[in-house]
Amino acid sequence: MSHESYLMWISLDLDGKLSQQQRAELRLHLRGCAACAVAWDHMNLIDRALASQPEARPRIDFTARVMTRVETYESRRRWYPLFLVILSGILLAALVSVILPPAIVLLGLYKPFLDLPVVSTIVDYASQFAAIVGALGDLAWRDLGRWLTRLTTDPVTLGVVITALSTAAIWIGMREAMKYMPEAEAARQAA
Amino acid sequence: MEHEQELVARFMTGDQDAFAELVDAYQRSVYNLTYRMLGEAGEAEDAAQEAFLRAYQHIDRYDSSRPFKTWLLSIASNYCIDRLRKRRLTWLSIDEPLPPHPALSSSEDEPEDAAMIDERQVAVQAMLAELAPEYRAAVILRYWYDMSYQEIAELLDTTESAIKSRLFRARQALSDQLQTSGVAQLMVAVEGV
Repeated sequence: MSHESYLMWISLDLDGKLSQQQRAELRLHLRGCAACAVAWDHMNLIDRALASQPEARPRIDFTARVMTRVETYESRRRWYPLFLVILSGILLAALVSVILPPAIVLLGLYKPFLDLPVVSTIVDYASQFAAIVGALGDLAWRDLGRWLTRLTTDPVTLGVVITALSTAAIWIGMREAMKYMPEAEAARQAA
Repeated sequence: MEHEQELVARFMTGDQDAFAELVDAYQRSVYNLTYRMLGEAGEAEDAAQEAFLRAYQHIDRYDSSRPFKTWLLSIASNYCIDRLRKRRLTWLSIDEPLPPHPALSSSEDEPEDAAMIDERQVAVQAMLAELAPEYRAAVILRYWYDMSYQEIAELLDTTESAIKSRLFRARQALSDQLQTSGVAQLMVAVEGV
């Protein structure tokens, strides 16, 4: 038998797995083999050291900490279905918005799609709404342009505007300053 | 534990108090395993909590014909082995010996003897840390849990001959470390205390 086999036997002997006959044979080999005898000593030393190691203990609040993690897990699990529904909705909307428009154009579906009574009605209303908003915007823009032209070319108008803005600024400033004057504030409150 | 199956049955019906009782009953076994596997108290605490949480989440996979403790230890050891494999990818230095666990310090022995015993415990833990995760798990289950080859094989989902081989290789590796590190003298001295 090889040395390797005897070393394996030493390990098995430590676990009580050798027969009486195998143990006797091992002892006989150890008496004549210095290398295996050293290995025997070391493995026995290791064996006794490991067997005498104490048990490590957790912190006193270990159970409470585990139960806190369990509660966190449970609360997440309760919200999980709702989260999944929302996420699926967002993904679906994103998918539709990305895929549908080019698909409609590429597959030539836009024409029959636009011809659908519901779609054509919606498109009509949308066009009318866009036209109204556009007209109002145009009007506002033209009016604004007219006023800006008048403000920059007519000195009287400019003077009126500057006077009005200055008066408003002085009045607002004085009103704010009054708040920081206790006597004035008391008088105001008395009044 | 006499009413283990009763607690498990209660827990399976959604009783969280029953689960808390199971945690209370097995926290030391699970924590000791994670500490011996990972070698650091904070990491061991996190791993032990994770093992209980996984047991909570996957209780439907528990085979009630096996002891609940064995199932828990199986979850904890597999989790630690995975964690150690990941840790190897992000190499951690083990040049410095690991600090002794606070709960391991002996208070009954004389101060000098206690210091020597603590030193040996640190040395043993440091030597364990040098073993491959699979070998380490086999050694821990053999020595701290007094399990048979068959029980260890079932727990680590392997064969008895693989466990026999792992224990042998682990002991050889530990013996080699003894020779090179000079810890042997310390161990002999402690045995004389």
